[in-house]
Amino acid sequence: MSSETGNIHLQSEQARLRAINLFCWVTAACATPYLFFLRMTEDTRSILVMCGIIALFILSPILNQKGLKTISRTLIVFDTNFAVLYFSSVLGYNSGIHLYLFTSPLIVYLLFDFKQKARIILALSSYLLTFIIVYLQSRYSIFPARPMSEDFTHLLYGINFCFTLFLSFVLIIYFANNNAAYNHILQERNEFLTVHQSALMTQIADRITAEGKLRESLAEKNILLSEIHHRVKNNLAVVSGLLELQSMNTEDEKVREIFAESRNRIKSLAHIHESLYQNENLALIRLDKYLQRILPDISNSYAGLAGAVKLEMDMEPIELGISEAIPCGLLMNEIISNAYKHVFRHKPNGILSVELKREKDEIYLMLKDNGPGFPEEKNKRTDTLGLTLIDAFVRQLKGRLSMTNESGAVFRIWFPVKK
Amino acid sequence: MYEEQKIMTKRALIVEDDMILAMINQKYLERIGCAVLRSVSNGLDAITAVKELNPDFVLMDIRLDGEMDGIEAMGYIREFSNVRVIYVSGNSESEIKQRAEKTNMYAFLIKPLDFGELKKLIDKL
Repeated sequence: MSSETGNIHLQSEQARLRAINLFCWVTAACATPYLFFLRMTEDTRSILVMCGIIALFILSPILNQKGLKTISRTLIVFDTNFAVLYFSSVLGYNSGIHLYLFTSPLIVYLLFDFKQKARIILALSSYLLTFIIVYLQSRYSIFPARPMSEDFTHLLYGINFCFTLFLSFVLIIYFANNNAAYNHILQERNEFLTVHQSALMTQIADRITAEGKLRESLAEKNILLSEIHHRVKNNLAVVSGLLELQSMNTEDEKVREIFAESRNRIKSLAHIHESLYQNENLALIRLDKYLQRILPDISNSYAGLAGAVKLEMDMEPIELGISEAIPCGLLMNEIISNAYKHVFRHKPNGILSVELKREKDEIYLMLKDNGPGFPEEKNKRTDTLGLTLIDAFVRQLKGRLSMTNESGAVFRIWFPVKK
Repeated sequence: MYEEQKIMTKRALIVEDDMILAMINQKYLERIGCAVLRSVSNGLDAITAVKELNPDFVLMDIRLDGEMDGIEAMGYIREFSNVRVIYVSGNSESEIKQRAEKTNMYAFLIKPLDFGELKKLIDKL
């Protein structure tokens, strides 16, 4: 549609150039019959001047084609002014050559855009100046006109009048057609826009409704998810409570310790669910905060040692999804419980160091105690349930585990971050 | 045995909507020598029970059956009783804790309950 508009409306530079070229050809065609009249006067100089004027009208479209639009337009203004000026002088005021000046506003409208105000004023001024010169020249007979018979002068006046009318008529018809076509296109475009606007309004309304429904649905899902985490936590509390009641049935400290370890594992899981439903994003958990939550619980479960262990934490704020958070949380629970059970229980000034950071696409976790370290015999390292679980959790995380003795037992775990 | 004798006089009201948890808590409290006067599952029953039984402490879950939660119920109870309240919640959000603190709470515990800690609190009553 826009290309169609461009082909017709004068505001389009391409359409304007086509109209200017047409004007030049029509003007040149209208000027040609004058050569026969001039031949009758046997005025060779005027014939040559007329040939020059016609040549300039033919040159303008060629200049337009070469992209020299300003020169072409200036040439048309000059050509028309010069033609009126010269032939009014030669053929006299009564020949009516100056009548062509009445077409000047139409020519200016054809040549220039309304935005080019300076050029329009300059061109119109030049036509006005030409008329003043023509009038003064005739009034004071500065250059006397070639003597001609009255009949010939009347004939020439009639021809000039008719050609002026014809040229004006052609230009007006051309502009009117252009405007009608342009209006038609505008009307079509308006109809098109109205139809599309209405369709867009419907689409917007539909989207707003859909968005509202989505929000409601999301809110419902979040409530449900939060409820599920709460239920899971309640169920874990039931299991933990049952284990506690069962542990009370025995006097054996070893058995009670086993129950306490199991309860700690359950608590670690429960804390993960709690952290999840407390988080705005119900699928992520802050590992550093989680660790800060489970440490007092583990410490409390080894009653009497709480407060005696110094915690050295260097943890970056790292978020994990539930599939990584659960093995990671249980893994940390096992390592810390291990430290309490084997080191801090026997050592008054225990130090537990925790380091958590992100290394490119991996999470690095380091837990260190200040105990005697791992036993030297390799077999003893993995024969406890705790170490077996640690190994299993690392494998679940698709990570790597390093266990070294560095003035205490050091666990280093690297595992990839899921995207 | 001495410990059990010491807290024998502590009379408890359990407010818990999960029946299994209520039973576990009751068993535990009884094992450590408390007398569980009643176990209820909603706020209205809790208000009535405190009025009728005047317990030494209330083990109050926050999420309850019905429209009233444990903290709201405690707000009404405070109008006529200074009974000690130990809140038990699955949620440790600071907003909930702040609301609970306004009811002059005795303690705030997180599920799963650390029974050792609960016993210490009851001993101090």
